[in-house]
Amino acid sequence: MYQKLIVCVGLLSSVAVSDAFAVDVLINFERASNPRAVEGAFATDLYADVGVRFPTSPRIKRNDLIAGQGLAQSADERCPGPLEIAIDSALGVRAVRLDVINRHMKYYAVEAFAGTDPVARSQYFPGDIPPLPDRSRRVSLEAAAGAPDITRVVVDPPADCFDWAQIDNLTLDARNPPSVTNYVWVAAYEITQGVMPALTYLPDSGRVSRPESRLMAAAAYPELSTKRLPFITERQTVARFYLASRLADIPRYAASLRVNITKVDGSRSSTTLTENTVPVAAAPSADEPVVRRMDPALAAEDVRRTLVARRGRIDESHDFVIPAPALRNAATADLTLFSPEGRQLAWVQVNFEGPFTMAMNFWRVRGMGPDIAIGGPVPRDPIMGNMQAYLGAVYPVSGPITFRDRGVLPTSSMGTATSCFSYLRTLAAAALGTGPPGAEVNYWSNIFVVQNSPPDCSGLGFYNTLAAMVKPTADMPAHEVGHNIGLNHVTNLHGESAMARRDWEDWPYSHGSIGAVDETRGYYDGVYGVATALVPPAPDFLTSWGTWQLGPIAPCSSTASASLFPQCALGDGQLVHDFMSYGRGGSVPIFNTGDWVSDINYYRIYRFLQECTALDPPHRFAGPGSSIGAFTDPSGGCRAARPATVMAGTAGGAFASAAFTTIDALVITGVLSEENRVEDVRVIRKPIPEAI
Amino acid sequence: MKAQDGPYELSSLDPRGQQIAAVKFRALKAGRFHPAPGQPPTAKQPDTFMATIPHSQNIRRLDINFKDKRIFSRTATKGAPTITLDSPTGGEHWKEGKQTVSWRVSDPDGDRVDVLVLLSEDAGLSWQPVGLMDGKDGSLEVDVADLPKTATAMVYVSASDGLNTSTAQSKRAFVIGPKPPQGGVHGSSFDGEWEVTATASQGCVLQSWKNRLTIKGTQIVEDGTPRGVIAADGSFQYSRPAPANPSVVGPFTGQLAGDGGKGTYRFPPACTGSIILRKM
Repeated sequence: MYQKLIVCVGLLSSVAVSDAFAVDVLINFERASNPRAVEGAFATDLYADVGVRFPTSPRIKRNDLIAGQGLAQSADERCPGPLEIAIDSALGVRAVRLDVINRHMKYYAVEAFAGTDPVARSQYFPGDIPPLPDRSRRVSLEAAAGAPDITRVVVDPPADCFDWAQIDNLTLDARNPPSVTNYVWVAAYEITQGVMPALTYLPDSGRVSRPESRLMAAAAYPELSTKRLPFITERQTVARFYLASRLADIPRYAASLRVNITKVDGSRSSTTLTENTVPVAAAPSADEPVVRRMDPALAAEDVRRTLVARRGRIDESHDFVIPAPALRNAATADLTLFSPEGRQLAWVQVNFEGPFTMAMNFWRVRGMGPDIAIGGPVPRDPIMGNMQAYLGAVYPVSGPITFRDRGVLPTSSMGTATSCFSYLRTLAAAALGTGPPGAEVNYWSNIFVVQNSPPDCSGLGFYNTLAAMVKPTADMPAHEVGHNIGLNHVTNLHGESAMARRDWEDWPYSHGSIGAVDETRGYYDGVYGVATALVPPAPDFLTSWGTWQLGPIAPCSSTASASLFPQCALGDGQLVHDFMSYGRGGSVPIFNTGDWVSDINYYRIYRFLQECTALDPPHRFAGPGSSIGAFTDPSGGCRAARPATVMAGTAGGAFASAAFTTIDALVITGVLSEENRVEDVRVIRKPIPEAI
Repeated sequence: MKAQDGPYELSSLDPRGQQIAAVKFRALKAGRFHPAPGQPPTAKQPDTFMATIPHSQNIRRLDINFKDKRIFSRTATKGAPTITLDSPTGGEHWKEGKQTVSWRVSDPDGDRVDVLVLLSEDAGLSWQPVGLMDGKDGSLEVDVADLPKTATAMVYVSASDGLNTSTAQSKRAFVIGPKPPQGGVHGSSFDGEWEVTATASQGCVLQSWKNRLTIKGTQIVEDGTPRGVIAADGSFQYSRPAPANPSVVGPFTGQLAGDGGKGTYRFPPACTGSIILRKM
């Protein structure tokens, strides 16, 4: 028995019995029917759910003649080749109808097959049959009684290479209707290397999607609109896909990601990943992401809010970590997400910049301030490892930041001075001329770690000077080295500007956060971070990319809509702050801190490493007369990035250590009082490079 | 020294009050500190500064001017401190554990003397601090685990009474860490004979000269004498006598890649140059 069922493929939104003997499967290639039926998209597997495939990879294309979208074999109108429709034999298709549009009224043919056996054929000859007003023609192909079911239809375009034949409104009469499918699509995605201000929606045009990374503050500050976070070569990259389904949640949906990497020398590699992340927990379990039901009629604002809330949970997204070593010298990466059945869900292309590299000289200071009486506890190596990992996570650098352990630095000559300023200037003078901890870095500085700092500070960093003093916490070097490269404090809401100077900026995001949602200012997506850590054992990064703990970092530590929208309703203690703020709140997994990096300061550091330009964008939020514009860093620790076309590790950049000579010098340090009195002058003598 | 800029000027003057050298500088911006948890914001902090000026034995006074107004002056005391480095003087092998840098200082005026202790891992080409000490301490204990491993280590000490200074350093290199192999323990792509072409930049008697080196594993040998070491990545450092004055020994550092390499050298007091290496 046949039934007549009209099925809008993809969303299956309407069902109507109109004939007692057949089922119609209707494909009209409009986005209203299928969210992924966007202009430019390949239709290859777009309708696989209902048993129809297009193995010749035609694309969905707008056609003004029909005021809508149809399917064309190629964007190139010259000699596009046949367009093939493959039909699942289980459907039992007895008839196929389709509109064929040919703008120039050329010859074309449409033929139906059962396997390789011809079943029915329709041809158009110019002048033979009057075209319909829109120059289309409704073609109908039916299997004769006793003939096998139709499993293939081929549309042959004009043989003279003059034009294509576009099809639309494909209708199949099937004995066995497809079951109603819980259609899955990518509602949004993000590609993040630690922080990301924007969700990306698959485009309405173009088959490839490129991730959006515009600074969120651009919504309120148009001068930022051209600034986008970069993707850095040889840097841990996380692809997070937020999947939606039509009918019901789907637990444990095993999507896979194919990663094709093209390197700057043109070489290529390809890897297919299943989800390689686990939650951050004492005993990590598998990350079992769920595909959430989403009503396609949901308003855009509600879709966005739903997705923003999902960003704070690892099990609400399909996550793939591409480890830094795999992206060494990467120029581009093509990421193709597939459903468990092999259907293409998304195609994303990421372009990389860099490499950008950093290194730190690292001294463990003993005998300082409160420690002098006890001989000085000495910070040990695990501290250095934590600092190195955090700094590398929040600064946009390639590979790990080199930490050169310069050993223990006893300081008995300091006496019992109690000022951080006094200590740091003396330490900086002693280290002056030590030189970078390695060749070929874009920036380096000197970090002095103290177990117990003098009572007037926890850490100190001079502006645009190669000296930072920190206590042994993971996040403090990021803050103080931030000063070394010119970053000011974020807000003055936590006592940042203790000396009543304007060394802080009026931050665009709530209370110094990394970027909490504030719909009243156009901050819709939030600036979210991710922290990653490799789960042992370490892979070889050739045959395996390993398993990673993945911890989303929500600027407003909640996934409840009432707390997130229209603006973060939580208090300061539950906001993840930018590391240049004094505020600490929220929850940053893996590092167990309350601060991370905002998109604004991430971008600034990127610009610094790229061109040694400090403060781009400038600190202009603090009001008239107090802004600090972009300037070239004077510290001597910065070297602009080399062209991205130079492969790391090749002879092109081998001899970075320029010849230098040293001179016998006096290094004089002291204090300048407000009245310009000079006090506490110390003089040391040492050989220093002449170039200083 | 690189020209600096700023509203302040540091001058060094000789016994007759004649200027020897002057450099401009800016204040290091203060007030960028991270208050300790629970501590109330403190009062406004002063700025600090750091400026460098070439040393000269004739310096008797330092002046600091701000926009042509003298805001600081320090005159040297009559007597200068002296310092002697007792250990390491060269040839030692600090294999592991605690080791001692020891010195003796004296100051005829009885001034307090600060001692800066520097370590070089490349035979004096570059230095890093390992101690900021009170001169009376007389010694500094270091842990080999905290030091770079090198066959070309040297120690430098300088004493300062606030303006008068004196220095001393190891007379030759010593070893920190496991001693480098004396022969070719492991082969490397750099093993073999190398021709070194040296070109002087400034302050040298000879403008150019050539010599040969042999690389065996990690060892750099010249005329049968171990001179230094090369790392697996091709970076090398060695010391050799100056061709025009064998009593002067200078450090060479550089990088090999494939069958070639580059580097620099320095012979005290002021001879510097570059080298090109070619595998023979």
